Amino acid sequence: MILLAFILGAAGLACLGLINPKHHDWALGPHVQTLDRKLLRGGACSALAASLAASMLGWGAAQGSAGWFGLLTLAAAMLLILRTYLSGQARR
Amino acid sequence: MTLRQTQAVLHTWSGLLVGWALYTIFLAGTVSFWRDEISRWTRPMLGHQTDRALVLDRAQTFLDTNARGAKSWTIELPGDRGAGTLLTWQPQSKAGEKQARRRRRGDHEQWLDERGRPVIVPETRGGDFFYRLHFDLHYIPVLWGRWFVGFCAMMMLVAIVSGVITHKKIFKDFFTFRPGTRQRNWLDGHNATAVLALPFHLMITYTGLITLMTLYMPWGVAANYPSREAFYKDLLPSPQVVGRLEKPAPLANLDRVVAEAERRWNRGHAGIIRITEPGDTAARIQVLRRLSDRIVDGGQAIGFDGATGAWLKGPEPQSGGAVTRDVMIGLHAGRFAPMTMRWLYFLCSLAGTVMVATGLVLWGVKRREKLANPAQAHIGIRLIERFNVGFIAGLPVAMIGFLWANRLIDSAAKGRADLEILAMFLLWAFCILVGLGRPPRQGWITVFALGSLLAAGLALFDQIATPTGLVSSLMQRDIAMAGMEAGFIVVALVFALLARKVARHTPSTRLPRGRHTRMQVSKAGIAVPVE
Amino acid sequence: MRGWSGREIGARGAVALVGGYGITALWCAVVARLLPMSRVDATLTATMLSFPLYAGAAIWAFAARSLTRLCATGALVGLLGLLVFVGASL
Repeated sequence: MILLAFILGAAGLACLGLINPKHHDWALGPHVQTLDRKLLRGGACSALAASLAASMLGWGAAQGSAGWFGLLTLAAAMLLILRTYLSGQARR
Repeated sequence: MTLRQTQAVLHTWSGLLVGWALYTIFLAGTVSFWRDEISRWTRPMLGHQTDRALVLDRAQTFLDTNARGAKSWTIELPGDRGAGTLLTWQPQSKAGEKQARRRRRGDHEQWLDERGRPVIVPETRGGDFFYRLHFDLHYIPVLWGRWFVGFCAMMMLVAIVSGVITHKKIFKDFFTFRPGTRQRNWLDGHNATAVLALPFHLMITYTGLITLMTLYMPWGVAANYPSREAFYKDLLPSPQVVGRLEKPAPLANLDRVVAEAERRWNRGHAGIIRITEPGDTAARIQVLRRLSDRIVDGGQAIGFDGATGAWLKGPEPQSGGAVTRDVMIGLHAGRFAPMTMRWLYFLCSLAGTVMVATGLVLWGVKRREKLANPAQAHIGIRLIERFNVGFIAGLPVAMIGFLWANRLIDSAAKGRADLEILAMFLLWAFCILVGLGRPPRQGWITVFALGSLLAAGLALFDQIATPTGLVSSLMQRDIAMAGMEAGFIVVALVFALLARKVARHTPSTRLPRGRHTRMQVSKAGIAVPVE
Repeated sequence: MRGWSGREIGARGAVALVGGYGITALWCAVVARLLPMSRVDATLTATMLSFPLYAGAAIWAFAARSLTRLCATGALVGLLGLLVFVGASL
């Protein structure tokens, strides 16, 4: 359940990142039509809300609310590392 | 000055003035999330899987034999991450003798192992040392330490808020970490660790202030109550103090009393048992709940009659304000956190520590690059750069030194707990001297290399010379101790990597805009103009 | 846009530190008296709210357009707090 919360959190944050055209191009290639911003925002919100729900289911209401932020931090860190070091831009 | 510029000034100063103290507070707090594990590591003779009923039975027997007629007995049970049960007792004060305010360490105390057998444990503070260092500091009166830490925490809160205002655009610019270029590298590292765990930093700083809030802001209490004592009487349920009646009566069976308490807490767990006037008709048993049971801090004390074992009172309901405060304390200490969440706490806290460290280094880098000739910085910048080495790299190295001292100091040595602590501070002082004596780049490499050797050496020593090494722990399925040993190896690797990174780093010879002098890299690792 | 002198920074810092604490302490007492809760809850709540207030005061000490404006506002807020406190005690 916590793992699910983590994956949903990462998915939500990734959607938020895709709103930025630079990351959209990097992730999906420049020839893919730009995904609708509203769709991405809606998707991100739903994923993050579902992530919070899963966290609360797994850990209990109070602890789950607190732990959710920790899961998001970990997910964001993971996305940050992937984005930085996979792209080879590090050497620029 | 725009709002962002004013807040940049505030952020720099509030962070810089207490930067080293904040780093210490953060690092000590970070390792304190593993307080129980560290305590277990420093007392390896205490086994982990405690047989509660057996321990309570033997504790009662031991205390009845060795502390008969004492004023009070205390039994501290290990939680699910701790090891060993600590028995302490307070003898009756002799007529005319003033009650000693703090029991001297070692007097009237006994450790019991996981099966309740009395064990001689070499004196050590264990994980409690880092926990106390975090808010009491050391070698200064506790009150001064707490005031100073509170001051630093307030500066931290201001630094966080002003930092967010200054970097408002960070939420738009996020995901653009740029390793490689010098100043941006440090800035991005500082921003990343700050923003990634921003909810944690805000929470931990604010809740940290709350834990000692009536010390820092006693004005609410002063406005509403005639004295502090009156406030605490209103806030906390006070146990009834009944004097000894001199009518002997055997103490009720503790295991049954504890079971009843746990039932009343709706399947909670007992943490501490306090017995006043044991062996007398006036005896009272107070059972406090394990703090790791709930996110709300506080023992939910339940009182029992000592002779009959009958329930007297508790747990007392708490008002909304008290629960709110206790939730904040619980969030800060994270005692409730199950293992996965504990790792999240630890990683976020580590990020906070790195945030403070990168901030301190960033300041030096920025100041140097602003100079007309970066090779000739004035003494202020040079001193801070060199102190950074010993303070930042030196503290974790010194902490490993504390653990080494635990293994090396003779178990019967008098005052060995204080010697372990002294060893840590001496090693830290040594690292600071190394940092002062060498150019920063060499300093970082030396201290990191030293740390790497000490950490790896500790894991090796434990495997060879003690029963607690990595392999031994894995074979005994002791995940926590295996984790500690693996942690030492990871720390050694990280230090080695950092030392290598510094050694290979060539500072950018790119000039700030508008300069036309050619630059090269000097021996001290700084970009200098070509003669 | 010219930066601040060391003196300006020092002055604002001192006002933030000392003046900020004074105003926070005062309003902590005021809020503790005025909150419509039980005495213990009002005390706890007022104390818990005082830290964000102190942080806000520090932010304001640096964000204010001039030192004079800052001191004037601070004095006004302090005076107001004093009046409310005296009024609440009567």
